[in-house]
Amino acid sequence: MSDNKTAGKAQEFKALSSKDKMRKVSDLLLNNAMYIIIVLAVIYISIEEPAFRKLPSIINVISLTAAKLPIALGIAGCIVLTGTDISAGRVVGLTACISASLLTTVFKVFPEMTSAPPILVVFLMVLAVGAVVGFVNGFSVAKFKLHPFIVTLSTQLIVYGLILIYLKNGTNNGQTLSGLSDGYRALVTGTLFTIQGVAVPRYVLYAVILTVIMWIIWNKTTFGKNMFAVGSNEEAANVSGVNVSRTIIMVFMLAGVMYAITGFLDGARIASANANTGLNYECDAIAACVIGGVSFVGGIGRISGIVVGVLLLQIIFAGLNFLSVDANMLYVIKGLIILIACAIDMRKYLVRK
Amino acid sequence: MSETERPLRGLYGRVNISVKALNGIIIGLSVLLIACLAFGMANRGYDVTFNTMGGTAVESQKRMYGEVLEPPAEPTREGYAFDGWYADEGLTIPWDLETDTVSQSMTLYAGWKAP
Repeated sequence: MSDNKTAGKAQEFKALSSKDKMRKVSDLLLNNAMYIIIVLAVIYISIEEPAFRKLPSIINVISLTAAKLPIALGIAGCIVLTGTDISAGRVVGLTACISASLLTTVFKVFPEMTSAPPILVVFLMVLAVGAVVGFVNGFSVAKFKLHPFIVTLSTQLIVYGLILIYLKNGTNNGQTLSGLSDGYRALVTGTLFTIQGVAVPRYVLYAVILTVIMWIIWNKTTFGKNMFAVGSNEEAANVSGVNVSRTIIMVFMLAGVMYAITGFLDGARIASANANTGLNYECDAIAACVIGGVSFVGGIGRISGIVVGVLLLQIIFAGLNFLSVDANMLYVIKGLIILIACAIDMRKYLVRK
Repeated sequence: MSETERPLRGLYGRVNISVKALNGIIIGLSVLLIACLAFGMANRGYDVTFNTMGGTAVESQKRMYGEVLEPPAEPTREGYAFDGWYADEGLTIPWDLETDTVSQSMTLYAGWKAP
């Protein structure tokens, strides 16, 4: 079936005049410029540093991808609604700090506590925190028609302030939280299985589960269909009977819950949490979404694209880290990647018939 | 502009740009990105600097990913005894010169104790 398709396409291509052929090829090159550059860079890195191709490094990239996937899956919904969410990183930080302060052996934030509460209780608590921030974002966007940039900028600052106040609590005095309980660490970073002696952490499995859940929400539920409808044309969606406000609020709340999960996993993954945990995570997540084809024009995006976007970003940055490229340069590179991804995003939309 | 072009919407709602201009931008930025990648790869190595917290200065080092540090000259400070290097300013994470490997540019802080 697919062979027939490609054969048909090849024949179609042959039938084109040479000028059209040129255009087809240049279209292909331009629309995939980013992928081409990243793939070439990764090939160069793996030739230069053969250790980058080895199993431990591959598992490392997969683990990093799994760690950054939930936040990207959350933020993608906001982008589909032609919005964005720049409070994401700080919500990750707050939820990581809450998890790390409760599921610990040294109760510096709450000195009167003697034993850690059940992990499930803390997990549900941070989910609620994420959902509340998401609700504030979504409510302001839906009811007051505020631009998500402004709303999430303010919640970003408010949440950052809350993190700092929270860390000042008890005897902690703004210090980094560490000494996490073994149960919490084992649940997140425990070994899922080992390949040739290299351990794959459990949070890889959680990321896979979350991806499947998000795929179902996006593709198989009314809520998902409503989200795309609102994203591509709010008025049309409204006319056809979609509850626009509720959809927007739910998308932001779902995003908040995904950030909370990221924070919960990140606390144990990094084995500590402080005011800088989650800093700039939203930039990486937004970049990954745009690279993965979640378009800023709204109403366009696929879960598979997000996974590819996160993976590509992690591969290239893990590779550059392997080459000992200074972090300062990485910021410049990251910024350029976002710009190119946006230009390609616009181009794809303009040339699509 | 060809007829197939349609107005952008969403976050690009106010962008008015032709495909031709976008092609130029994509090519230009790609070249810039490749240049940055090449520059970064040509200037490899992480700078490790030493903050002696009031002691005698210690020379910084350039190290590759995964390498251990060359044992730096031990700093001295009047009235204190040197207590090793730490990865954080709060002196809570000690740096083991023999086993800890470099994975980013960083500063190590000297710990001091009263003799």
